Amino acid sequence: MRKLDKKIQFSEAYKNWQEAYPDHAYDSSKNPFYKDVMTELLIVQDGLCAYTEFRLVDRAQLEIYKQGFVEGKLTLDPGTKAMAHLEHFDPKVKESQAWHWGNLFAVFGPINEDKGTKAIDPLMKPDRDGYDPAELLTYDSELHFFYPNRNRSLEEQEIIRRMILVLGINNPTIMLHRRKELVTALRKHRWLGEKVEVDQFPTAFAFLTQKHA
Amino acid sequence: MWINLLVEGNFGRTRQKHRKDRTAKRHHMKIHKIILKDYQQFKDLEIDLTYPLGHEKAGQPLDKVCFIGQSGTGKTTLLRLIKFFVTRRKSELHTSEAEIPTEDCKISIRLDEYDYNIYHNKDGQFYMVPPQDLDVDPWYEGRDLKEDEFIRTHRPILISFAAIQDRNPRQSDYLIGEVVSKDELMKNAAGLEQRDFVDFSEESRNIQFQLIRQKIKGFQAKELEHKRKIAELALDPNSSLDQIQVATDSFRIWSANTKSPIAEFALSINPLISAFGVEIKTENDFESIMNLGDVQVRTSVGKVDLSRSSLSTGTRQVIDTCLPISFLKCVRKIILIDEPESSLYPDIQAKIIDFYTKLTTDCQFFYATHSPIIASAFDPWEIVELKFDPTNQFVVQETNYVGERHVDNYTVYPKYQRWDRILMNLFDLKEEGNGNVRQEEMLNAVILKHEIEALVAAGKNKGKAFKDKVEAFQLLCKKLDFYAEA
Repeated sequence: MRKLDKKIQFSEAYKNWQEAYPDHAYDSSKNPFYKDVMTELLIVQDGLCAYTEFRLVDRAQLEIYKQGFVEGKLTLDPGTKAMAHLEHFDPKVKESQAWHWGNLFAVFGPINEDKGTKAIDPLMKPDRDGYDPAELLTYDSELHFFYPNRNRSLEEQEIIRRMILVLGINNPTIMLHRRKELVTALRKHRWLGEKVEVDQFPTAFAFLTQKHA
Repeated sequence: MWINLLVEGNFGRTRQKHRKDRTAKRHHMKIHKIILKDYQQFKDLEIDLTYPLGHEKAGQPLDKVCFIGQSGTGKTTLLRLIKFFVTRRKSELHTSEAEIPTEDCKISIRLDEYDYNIYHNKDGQFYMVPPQDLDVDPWYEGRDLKEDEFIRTHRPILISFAAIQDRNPRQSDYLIGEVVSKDELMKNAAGLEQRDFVDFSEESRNIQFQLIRQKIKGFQAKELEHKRKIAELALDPNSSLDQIQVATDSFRIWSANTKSPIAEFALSINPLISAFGVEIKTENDFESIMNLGDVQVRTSVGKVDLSRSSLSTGTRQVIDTCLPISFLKCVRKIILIDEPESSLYPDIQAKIIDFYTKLTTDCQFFYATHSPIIASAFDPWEIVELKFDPTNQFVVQETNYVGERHVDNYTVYPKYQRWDRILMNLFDLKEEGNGNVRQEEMLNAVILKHEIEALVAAGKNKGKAFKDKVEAFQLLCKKLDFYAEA
């Protein structure tokens, strides 16, 4: 789970609406801003799930989203639907401020469904100031599993352990794709000495390549 | 007769040439395409059933096809449609007119080198039409396909096994004893070989099996007659040694020239059913005239005869499919088997598809399955994966290749993959294990593994606390089958 910077661009109309109605109840995709919010999130997340880095929309499709996103509004029909759910990081914030921009992420559907209303800890919020995956996580290159960085305090390690489960970072579906993608990419990296760019799971790949450099 | 197969098409200058070609005997009939438009859950489906580019048989109809897909995606419907078009009997579909496909639905068959589309028109007739852009074989002009020499010489052309073969042994002792009345048998006196289609569905399989029993009976009665003659001569004080010798020689010659259907069947099936601890008995002890025609199963060890009702459903499933395939001498037939995995343990599932193929010669098989083990017997181009479209309204075929349809461009090669991977890659199972429960224990094991490694690196790998950690890790490994992940 990499650091996300969500302060890029956004529609003034949404900002004004959100400030005017901070306690507007969550009304799913029926909300007139839903598509714009989702598009902005997909763009700032480079088409990847905010937590697992699983690709939600392919690069070509993402380009269509980018081209159609003018001044914070999605102006065209992107065709194929992204495999994304609009996720509320903190379920308590969802109750009081359902459309609070800072609480929203685009994530892979099953991750959102599994997470539900489980309690969260802000330590593992991907857009938190100072969030750095290398400080909180480590990656087991044999099993392709993220686990808490052993340099953290035991209390923090337990928080990280729990949040890894809540955010589905080692979700079994994701694991299958992650192993496939990274084993292939790592071989290319080792055998051909090429600079390899992975299509998804960049954080796990960064762990692997630093370790094996 | 309501079935009337007509032929239409553009008969051009090639007619004479093809008429000459007709002197060659026809040998093959295989399906190479299914086209369905606005039929039940299929809106617009065209299934290519040929070998892909890069294959030595590229462009030829597939020898075996496996339909997979979630319940309700129409696997069994496709098998029924194949029956409908190949046998050209409306009764193969349900009686509702809505179930009769329109002329936009068709199957393409290849009869030797000639292609034809078979469809059913509004007028209630079946048509067999050459594709418009191809030369026409005029031989079929005005002929009823039922009289085609291929069909006459290869009857039955289609054999079909329904999904659930035999779940209740008490209701289907069709391989032991007479369960079908003589009247019923008389109605079917023509025998299996004279039919276009042999159906082993629940409604009609008793008749079919009794006809198979009759064949076995015929052989056994002849054997009995020979033996009786020898015995009578031997017991008759007036008969000469020469007379006994002649009768014995006659029996020997008959035995040498007449293959025992049971012995042949046993030879092929016993290696497979030995996994169940049973075998087909080849000797006939003629305990009773009622035993004539029986297919008797006994234990491999101890050779104890078993009643049909004491056989496992798996054993019955294997015998009840292999027996007809073996007895009908399946050469160049179309064979439909719905859920071949029924009641079979995984080790037998892994063998059964190749086993059916070995029992036959140049047949075309169509299977429908939910089993990844069955699917692993197929190359990816032999698998037709059906899926609901995103709106959940229609069924479409999942394209399991990228770019052109070439042997190297498929995304999943089930023959070479682990069962769990086939489940995930082909059957769309989302997880490799019991979801979140497994995920949490895996994470705990990884944490413990790195804790132990850190202790070892620091030289702190002594004492009870360390040993307890190692033991806890090993217990987790056992629960998770952890080594298999590495």
